[in-house]
Amino acid sequence: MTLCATLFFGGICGLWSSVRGDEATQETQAPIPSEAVDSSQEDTPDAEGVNPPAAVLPKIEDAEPEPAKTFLKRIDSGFATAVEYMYAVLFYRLGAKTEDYVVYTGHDVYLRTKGTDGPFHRLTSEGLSDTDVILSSDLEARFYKREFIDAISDSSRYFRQGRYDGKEVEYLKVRVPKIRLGERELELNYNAKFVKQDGKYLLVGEMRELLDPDVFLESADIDRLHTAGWLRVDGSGGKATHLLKGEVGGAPIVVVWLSIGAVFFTFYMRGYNFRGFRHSIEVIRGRYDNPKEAGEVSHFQALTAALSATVGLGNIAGVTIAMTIGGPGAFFWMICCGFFGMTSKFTECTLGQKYRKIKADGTVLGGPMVYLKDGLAEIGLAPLGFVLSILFTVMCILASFGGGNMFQINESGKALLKQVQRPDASVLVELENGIKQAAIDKDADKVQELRKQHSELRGEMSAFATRFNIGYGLVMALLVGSVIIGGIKRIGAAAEKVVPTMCLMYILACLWIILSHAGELPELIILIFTEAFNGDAIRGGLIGVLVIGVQRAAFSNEAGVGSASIAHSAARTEEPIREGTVALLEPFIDTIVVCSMTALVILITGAWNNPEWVVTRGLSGAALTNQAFESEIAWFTWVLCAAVILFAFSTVISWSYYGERCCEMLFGPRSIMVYKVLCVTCVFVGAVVNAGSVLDFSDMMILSMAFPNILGLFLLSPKVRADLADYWKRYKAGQFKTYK
Amino acid sequence: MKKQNVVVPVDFSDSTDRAIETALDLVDSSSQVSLIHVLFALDSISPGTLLGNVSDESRREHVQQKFDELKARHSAADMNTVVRIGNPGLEISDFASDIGADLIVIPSHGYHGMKRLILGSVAERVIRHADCDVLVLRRNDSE
Repeated sequence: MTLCATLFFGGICGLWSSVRGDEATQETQAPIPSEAVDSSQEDTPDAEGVNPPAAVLPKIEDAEPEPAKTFLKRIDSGFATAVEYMYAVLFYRLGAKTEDYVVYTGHDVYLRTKGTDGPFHRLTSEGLSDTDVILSSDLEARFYKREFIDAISDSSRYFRQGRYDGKEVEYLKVRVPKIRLGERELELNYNAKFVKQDGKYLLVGEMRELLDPDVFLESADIDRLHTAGWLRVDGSGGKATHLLKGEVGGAPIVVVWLSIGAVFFTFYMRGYNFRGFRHSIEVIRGRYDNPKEAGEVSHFQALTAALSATVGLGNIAGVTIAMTIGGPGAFFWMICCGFFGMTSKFTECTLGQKYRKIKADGTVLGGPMVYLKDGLAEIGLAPLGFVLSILFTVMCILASFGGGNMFQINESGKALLKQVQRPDASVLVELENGIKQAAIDKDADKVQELRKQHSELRGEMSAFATRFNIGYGLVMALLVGSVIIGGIKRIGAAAEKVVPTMCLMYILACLWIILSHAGELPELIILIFTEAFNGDAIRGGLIGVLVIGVQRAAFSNEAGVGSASIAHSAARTEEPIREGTVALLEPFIDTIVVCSMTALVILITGAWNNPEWVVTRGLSGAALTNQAFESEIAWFTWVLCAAVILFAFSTVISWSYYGERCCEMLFGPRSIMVYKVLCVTCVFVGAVVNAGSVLDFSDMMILSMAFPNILGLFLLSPKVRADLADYWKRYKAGQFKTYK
Repeated sequence: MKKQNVVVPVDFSDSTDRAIETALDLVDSSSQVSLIHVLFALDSISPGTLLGNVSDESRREHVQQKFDELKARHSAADMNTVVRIGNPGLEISDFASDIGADLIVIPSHGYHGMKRLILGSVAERVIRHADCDVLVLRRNDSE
């Protein structure tokens, strides 16, 4: 789970998942928890390097029946196509360079006629070897030494079915971990990737994709491996080639769009993120709160409401991903993004206030869907405004079902389930290590005994997981339903009010960890600054580090996405600029404070650079954060788990509000009930369904909202600038009445 | 032909004034006109309800203020005003039956396209449910 699922945080899927070596491959085949198997390869340290065969061996046609597709899988794969398209658009990498690479797929094949119980014979260029065989009694031991590729472990038969020479056969793909190339011996993972640089192909490392100058292939080696059929070949017919082309570097278009917005607004508003900061503190302290002005909530309450939608998984999981793949330098760029993002937020929230509609009953309807329509109409761009507004509204409704709902419930459910099943999971690991040892010792009885216990426990765990997911889905749906349909506002209010406290607890725990490593802090700070401008810190170079830092920060604080402006428009004030000033604090709190805390913990505990956690156990995202915390404060994992659930719940409530407002705008107030019912359904579905593509799709919707929104912000920014100049003059002249 | 008891559903949009004028023309005294505004049920997830002090009372107060402005504008302080919460079409026709109204004067939005399909219009519902005569005023600025 850790590898696949957590990569999805924040809407990124396959950016760097291209090569994770054989751990990933075997993991998908053999349903063994990734952390369970200690995959040390030291069992065969003295194995001789193998010469690649001189010719391609006859091909085995795989005939392993595909597992039946469930209804859900079908739906999910339908969405997968949509996700692919959206990904291609949103994450289209501007300025990417193509690079040449090859992928090592060296393996031996052993086979036997189907249905026999005899040994597997190695396939050589002269046919089947009589001497080089694998006994079926050895299968188990060798499986647990992780020698097989794509082994079928469900029924513990390990071999795959296929066709060879017109006959039905059973075969094994056996990894070749060490190869001999002339004088040199190389240790390679199956699927190891080599990238061409200065005429040589260098191995892509598992940490931050750094190239390893000591492990390389020359073009003669490549030819040799290709002749042996030990390199991956893509394409078919005349286009088939082992010299593959990929893209590296560049910046995803959505990240560029968000950054351009943030930097432009910062300069255009003359650094208001900086000069308005003190004023924003004055405002949230209630200095100017006039209870008679129109609106629903105080400045502080509007900030709380908007924050509860933003603070969430991005702060806990996304940041960790940035640190692991971008290194400490990404921290610097993350902070920069938070800083510039403050002005994007300011601009959108000011406009939200400026164009909000106050209804007869004193409640408010405001946000991008209103200012795009009315604001752009004001400057003579009514048709464009109409289109952008509709686009934004539809995206926001979809995002409120997915990224703001199902995705949150799904991830928080997984976190809780993992926490609850921890004792069982560790027993499972012990059993697996026991089986492995017994298999290597060839103690068949013990293997069988342990295997039985293992499968019983696994069965129990998965049955529990099913029950748990349904239970969690029902409880969450009930809670959400009672708030948004039942109108029991005490639950929602409690959640909204607990979020700041939870944030504070999280920050304190982080500070505790950071301060307990205080000695390392100066060194870390130096590292952050040097790595930020060090082109060799990761493979993507300077731009790569920058993009990673900015991307994660932008996904977390959502500055430029426009959603927060819906909440801020409810504030009680007649000065739009004043509420915009309050909104400045949102990226500050979300990114510069909370994200930094997570990042510093990941950096100072060394989790970002810990090969055992990151490579061997494949931890990333929330799981890695959890691990880092656990190594420092053991009991804190429960608090973290509670925080994740709470953040998820409050995010769902806040996003339902955003979605509801958009629904009201698009379909009128009478459609709200339908929307609410759909919302609650999504909560349940999000808990029980494991459909990665559906979740990704909806999560990308949040990012898509930035396109219509920032375009509108650009066009309307002169108005904001003029209003700001006027407001600031009056503020400096002391013309505002104070109430506290 | 003068009416005794006229109900005017009010949404405080631009078409409201014309409806009130029409109603006032049809009665002898402004006390024979009742203005009704129907609110949708309070949503329970807005920052206002969760953290602030938005409630049905606060919403009624706001609407009452709006009513007072209307009364002042039409110099008809005697008009009755009422705020109800629920489905506008049903609440309006129920209210008219409750007070034994002999006419409802209602502006029509004239929605088109999607909104028409999904919403129909309040006027349509009132016509369908009302026990008394309904006078529908076509809005000049219909969407």
